[in-house]
Order: sequence, then C-alpha cells, then structure tokens
Amino acid sequence: MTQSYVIIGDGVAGSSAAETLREEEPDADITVITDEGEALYNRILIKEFAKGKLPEAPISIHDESWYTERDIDLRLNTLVVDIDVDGHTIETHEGAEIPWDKLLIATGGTPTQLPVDNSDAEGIHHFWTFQDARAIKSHMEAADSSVVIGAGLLGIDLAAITAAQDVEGKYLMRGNRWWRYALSKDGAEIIHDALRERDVEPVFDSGVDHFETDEDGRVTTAVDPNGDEYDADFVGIAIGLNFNTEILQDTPIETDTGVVVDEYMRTNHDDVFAAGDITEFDDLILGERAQNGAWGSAKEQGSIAAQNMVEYGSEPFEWVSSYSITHFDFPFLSFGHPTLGDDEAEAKYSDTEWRRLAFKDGRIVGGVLIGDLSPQTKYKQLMRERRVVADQKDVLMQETFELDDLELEETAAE
Amino acid sequence: MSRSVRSQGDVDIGPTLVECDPTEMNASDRVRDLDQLSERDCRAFLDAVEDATREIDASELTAGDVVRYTAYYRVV
Repeated sequence: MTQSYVIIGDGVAGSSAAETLREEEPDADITVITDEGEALYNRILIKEFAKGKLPEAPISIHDESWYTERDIDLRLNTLVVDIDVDGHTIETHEGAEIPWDKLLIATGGTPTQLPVDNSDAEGIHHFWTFQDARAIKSHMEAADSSVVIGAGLLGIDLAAITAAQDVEGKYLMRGNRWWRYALSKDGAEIIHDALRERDVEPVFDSGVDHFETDEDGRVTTAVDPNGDEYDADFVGIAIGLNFNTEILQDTPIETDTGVVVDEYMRTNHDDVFAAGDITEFDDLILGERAQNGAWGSAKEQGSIAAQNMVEYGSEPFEWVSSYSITHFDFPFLSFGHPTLGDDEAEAKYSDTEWRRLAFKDGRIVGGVLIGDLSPQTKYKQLMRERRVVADQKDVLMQETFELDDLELEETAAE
Repeated sequence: MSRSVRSQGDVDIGPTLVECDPTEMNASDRVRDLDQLSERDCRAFLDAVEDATREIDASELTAGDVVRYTAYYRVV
C-alpha cells in the first residue's frame, strides 16, 4: 500500500493535490516542497496588491498551520536538486533525501528573460510571484515612467498596474495589436482604447532592442528595434513562461515544452505525476495535447492528479478553462483554447462588446468574450458535449441565443 | 451556505452583493477573483451583478466574502 507522497511545488496545483491526498489517505506521509518562502497565496490577486488596491493580508490563502493541522510536512525555501526516479527519492539543496512512493511535479513556470543588453538592469521587473509583486509595487509607487513589454495575458497585468499607480506608460507590442493570436483588430481595439484612457499608450510593431542605464546601473530608457526611445524608470517584461522542467533533465520522465502527462496526470513513469501550468496533457475536449495556465485548471489538475496517485484511472482530467481580465470597466473572459482551431467566428455588438469563437473540426474549442459574459455557460456546455456547431455560427453569434435555437444531434458527439 | 434573510419593505431578500473598497480589507476577509469561483457560483455572481436587487444565491459564498470582478463586491 502506498505510504508516502512528495509534491514539488506549493502553488494551487500542488496545494490542491496535498489537500486531496490527505482526504483520500488519512495516514500517508505527505511532503510539500517549495522554493518560495511562503505558503500558497492567491496568485490571481497579487496584481491587485501591486496596483495598491488590496492590502497584503487577504492574499495569503494558507498559513503554515494549515499544513500542520493536516499533518503535511511543508518545506519552504527548499530547492529540489535531484530526482532519483528508480530509487524513488528526491534530494534537497540542504542534502536531505526524501523517499516517495508517488511523486507529483507541480513546479510551474518562470518568466522568460528578454535576451537583450541590460535586461538585468535595476528597475526591470518580471511578474510571477508575490515577492515580484512587492518589488513592483514599491518601485512603481516611486516611478515617473513605465515601459511594459509583452502583448499577452501577463503583460496586460503590468500595464494595468502602471495605470492604477498613475504612472504614464508605453506598452510595446511586436505585432499590430494586443493578444494577436486570440483577438482580431476589432476586439483588441477595445483593450487599446481602455489602456489609452488610463494613460498607457500601446505601441505597435515594436519591442526592445536594448535598454540604457545610468551610471548606477538603473534602467533609464527602452530602445526599440526601430530606434525609438522610451523613457523608463520602471520596466515590466512579460514575454512568456519557461516551464520548470530542468530538474527532470537527467531523468527518464518525458518532457517537451512541459511535462507530458496522460488524462490522469501521469507521466511516462507509473509513480510520477504532474499538475498545473507545467503539464502538457491529453485534452479530452480539444482532442490533442495542450497546456493551460489558468488557476481553475491548475487547481483541478492537482486534485485529479492526487486521486490518480492514490488509484490510477479513477478520474480523468476534463475541463474547460476560464481566464478573466477585470482591470477595466467592462469584463473580459477567455475560455478554452481561443488561439487554436481551424475556423472562427466573431461579432462586434458595441464599442465595448465583442465576441470571438474558435472551432476545430466543427466544434467550439475556445473563445473570447468582451463586455457580456452571459453566453459563456452555453458555449462551455457545447464544448463539453463536443457538439458540432460551426455550421450554425449565425445562431452562436447572436447577442442572445438559447441552446434550443441550435439544431443539435440527439446525442453528444464522441 | 446559511442564508440570512433580510427585509426590503414587505419583501424578504437573501444575501446581496454590495460594492466595497478593497483597501479596507481585513486579514480575515476571504477575497477571491471571479475565476476562483465554481462554475455555478460564477454564473450566480454574474447574474446578481446584473440584477437590480443584487441578490445572490451561491453555495460557496458566505456573508463577508468578497469577489473581485470589474469592481470589488462583498456578500452581505
């Protein structure tokens, strides 16, 4: 009978797994290891702290007593330096060797560094952890000018922090619009206008060639490939995440961009599982391997992984993710995989209401809603049921529609 | 969730959403983002925000809970 579980990572995936494991296995040894100095916190809301909106206290989700009460051994500030898959042990930077019967990799990602001159200058920030948020908040409160790089879902947070702290900002994007793989120009322009209203100017077909610094090594200017210069005593870089798979390099665990797992969150080794942002999983709804970086998805993966660590095959991961942006007066929701697919439909209903759906093989695989989130439940239901509906875009894109308005087969597609 | 029933005129109303100031949060306040609600509670929350009475029926939200949406809302 399995007795010991080790979880590497105390984000929502790792923490969710620990909680589920304790519920399923009251007597097992459970160890959670994290390189951060604090237990689970609300990663979605750290941007609200950086904006100066929320105080620090409510962002903490677990304190150390939460683990103690559940007899979970929490190791903060601890790096795992080696994983012996055959020997079923891990080694920490302190030389501790911890045995495991089942291992969960929930190590998430680290912000991608920008490979240009002076990208490590003082005043240049990446944004992923609560510590990052503290540093950003402190610096932004004293800043006069901000440059943000990265036209995706993480970059928009830095732009919003700039705006909330009343700092004038430039938001440099490589393409001609924000989140160009998910939004058309019509949809993106709603975001651009909202940023401009808050004194953050989108700059298109731009980027950073190099940074310039003062004699103390602090950033002063971002210079784009066109030679344009932007004053910046604060720089925020959000160009992607590198997934923390280095610890698996010398192991037989299959990795690609992330850790490859099946629908039960198991790797190619029977006793090693993975959960959260780091996984490349068999997406049962999409019908192909996918990655997903949303809180709800990570939390569910952690719970599912734990159930399958106890009894493999007990529950597959099947989930439609959601990712909201709530920086502006209007809501924004991305669901599923809006950047994938072989077909699409979009509609604009007003200056602040727009919608786009992505289809693959006739089925909805994702979408983006701006301004009106009410159709999300219907779209997600159609996704879960794998309904072929791309031939009824006229109905799907009506401002208001009911599922009964669609001609659907009696049984959901396999 | 235990529902507290209050009265508004002759009508009993359940929990409602009230906009609140995030800078006044306490350490004990449970604050969550919209994406951290269950699908059912997310639907209930969005319906309540749009409703004139702001009455909400969400199984995992109790009085005092705060939800971050385009503004901050407290369940009262």
